[in-house]
Amino acid sequence: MYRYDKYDQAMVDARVADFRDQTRRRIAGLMTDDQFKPLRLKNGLYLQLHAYMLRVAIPYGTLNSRQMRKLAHIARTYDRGYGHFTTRQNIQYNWIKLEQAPDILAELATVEMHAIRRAGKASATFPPTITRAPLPTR
Amino acid sequence: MKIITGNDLRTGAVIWWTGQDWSVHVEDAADVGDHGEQILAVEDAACRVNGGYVIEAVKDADGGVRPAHIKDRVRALGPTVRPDLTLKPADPNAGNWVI
Repeated sequence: MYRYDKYDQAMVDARVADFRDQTRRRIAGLMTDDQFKPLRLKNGLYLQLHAYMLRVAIPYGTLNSRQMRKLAHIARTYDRGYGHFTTRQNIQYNWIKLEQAPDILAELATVEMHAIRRAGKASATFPPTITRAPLPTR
Repeated sequence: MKIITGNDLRTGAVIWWTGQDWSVHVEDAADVGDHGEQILAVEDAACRVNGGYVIEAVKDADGGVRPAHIKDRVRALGPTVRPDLTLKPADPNAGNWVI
């Protein structure tokens, strides 16, 4: 299981603060969608058919109980009580509100988790959490 | 008829232009004629909609609004794989409206 050192934690915390400010500016009309879109994608946030979707990284596909409880807490508090584990062992929340996304990232950071580079082209230039599912999908 | 749809900037909810405001119910959508892009420019600048676009739609026999493309009918109802999460969870025939 990957554990953060103080540099990891500082970087993730700073990233959350950056995204909170970027989100505030987007909602306030100080940024256009074209300006904001690459920033939200770099923080794991898509806009899909029905709502925003947040994809959270699970490094090596392993979780401790504290992290698992945090994921459940996020599902209950910010989503509709569930999430989807992907074949690459990320977890996706499908009913996220943009204005709450920074709070979710802040909650994730408290248990050494993040959504950095989990979406869009940003994810193609960043290693996946695992290279493939450990079991055949069929 | 032509109607406008997009997603609510803050919540991501699918929304429809009513002529004065936005609604999550497609049946509230207003015919915008040739003014769609003009309305979108104003609403986008005011940060009331994200990714808005103009689509073709028709009036149902019962007066409802039915988007021409199935993608937008799916957006209007909600996830087809989870009827309980749609806008009409108690209507067993809601999915037929989409197809």
